[in-house]
Amino acid sequence: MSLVAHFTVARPALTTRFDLEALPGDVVGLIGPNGAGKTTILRVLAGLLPVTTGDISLNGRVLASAAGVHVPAHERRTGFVFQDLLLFPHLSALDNVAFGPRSRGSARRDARTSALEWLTRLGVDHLADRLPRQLSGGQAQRVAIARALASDPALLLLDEPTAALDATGAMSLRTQLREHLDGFPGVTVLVTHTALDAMVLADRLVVVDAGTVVQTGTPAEVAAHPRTSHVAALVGLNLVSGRARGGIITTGDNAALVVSSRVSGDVFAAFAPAAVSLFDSRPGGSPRNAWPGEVVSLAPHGDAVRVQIRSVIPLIADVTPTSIAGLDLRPGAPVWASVKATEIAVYPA
Amino acid sequence: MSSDKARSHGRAPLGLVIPAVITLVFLTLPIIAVVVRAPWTSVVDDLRSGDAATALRLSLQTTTCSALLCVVFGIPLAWLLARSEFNGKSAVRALVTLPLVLPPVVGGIALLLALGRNGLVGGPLHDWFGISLPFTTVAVVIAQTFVALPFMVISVEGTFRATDSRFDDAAATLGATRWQTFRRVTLPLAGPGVLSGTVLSWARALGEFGATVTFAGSFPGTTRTMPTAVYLGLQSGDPDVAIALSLVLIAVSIAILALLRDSWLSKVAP
Repeated sequence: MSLVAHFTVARPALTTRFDLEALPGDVVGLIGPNGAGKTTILRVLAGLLPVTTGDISLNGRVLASAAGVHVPAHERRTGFVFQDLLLFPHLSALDNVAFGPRSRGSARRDARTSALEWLTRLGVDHLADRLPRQLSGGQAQRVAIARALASDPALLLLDEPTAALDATGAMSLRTQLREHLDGFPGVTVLVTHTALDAMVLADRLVVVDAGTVVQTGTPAEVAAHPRTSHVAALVGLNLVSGRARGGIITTGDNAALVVSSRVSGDVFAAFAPAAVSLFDSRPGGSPRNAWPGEVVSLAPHGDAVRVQIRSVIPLIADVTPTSIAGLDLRPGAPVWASVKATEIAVYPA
Repeated sequence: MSSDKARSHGRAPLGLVIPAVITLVFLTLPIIAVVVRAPWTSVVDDLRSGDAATALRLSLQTTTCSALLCVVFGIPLAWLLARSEFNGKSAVRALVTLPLVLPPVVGGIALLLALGRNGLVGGPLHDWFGISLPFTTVAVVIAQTFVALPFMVISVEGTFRATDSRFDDAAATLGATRWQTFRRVTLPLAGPGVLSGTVLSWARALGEFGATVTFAGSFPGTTRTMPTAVYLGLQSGDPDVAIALSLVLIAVSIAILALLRDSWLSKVAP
């Protein structure tokens, strides 16, 4: 009883290949850069796009196959929370949520009763009579989630549920969503752009890049050992890929990275921005990894300042505001960056 | 803003202002003439007079039927053109538009040849069932619907296209069939377009003359609608009734303009 999906879907811009097997109760986070094919994957799962090859089955029922099976979207029992919600503008919040039960044959009264229940669970029952345009972003998002859940889906699809909200709003929705996903008996597939969503909401991450799955694992595994620069940036890590030999990693750009690991072959090396130190001239002493570069941008990051550096290895570094002043860092300024070998995590590619 | 622009660029050149004024006068003068020459003292009596009142009532009845037919038969075609893929779609759209540009008299001839007693469909209809359409009130409705339907189809198709089809996707994921989606999402969202399409096609039906007179003739009480009565009134030397009826039609046109100003005209010229 689960979701089994192995398919490709050919789109004019990109052919996306996707493989996923998930059990009831699983929350699968789908992460990757814009245009990687994440929304396309959700649309295929929902039945809004046909598969090109491969097949999808949900709880033992074949939903789509290259052999010509295509269960239409309205017969799939998937709940879809669209990125821009798509609440029906002419219906009240209550009627939006009642739409699913009504479509599946409930009497108007019963549909409205269950809709009100769902609005209550999401904490927006006092807004039942409002039209979507009279709702704030967070309220509309909750109504959209209630609408998807009220149609009793076996598969829940969420497309960037917190993207439209400010930081506080996103956090409170995230917390609430976590509770509902814990209680949701079906499979959830969640597209997200934020590391926090992925960490808080997902049990498992599927990293998509340029139309293929490049990594799967628990959020902790993926965050600790990212395999794409997108995920590394998402979780705030520097990522280098190259070939390791005798404690030295050589990148495609011929930069050399001294590491304390003895792993050899094709590897990834990851290190935190806080592990990167900046100097105004070539540093002496222990750090053997030092590269000259140029400051690209500076942005506040918690108590520190996050500095983006262009060098033979693109870097982000977190430094104190004091050292920004001391080093006279500003966009375009020359700088030396270094990182200790012991701070670098190395893992096979 | 426009006045700011006018000031910064100087006066509008006379080479444009003069023809513009001529155009304006040319377009409004005839309407003003009707209003000026209208027999205001007797206009109510003229409209109450037998012929005018009969024509008024007939026009009201037939155009209501035509507008309803346009709604019932125009919306489905508009939906097909806007939301489904089939071969020869552009040909279908061209065919739908044809009655818009076809001279109405030709439309009347075409209807006679199709539905007349010896017509393509009208022949068997008469021979087998004894039904004869031409020169009946039904013929008036048919002629009016023929010329008015394109307004409905085009107006509603435009509205269907303008509403985000992803609402259909959302409805589908919630378990709605395409028919349920049409009834509960697409159609309500297209409400303003349906309304303006209905008003437009009703107005076109009201003004219909050429096809009606050709296909339905001009029998008082059964097929003599307002435009026909206006024409015949003028011919038979009873211009007061003709002018009174014209006033009614002008008033209706102005009312329609006012009604559609927000929904339709604002889309054409925002």
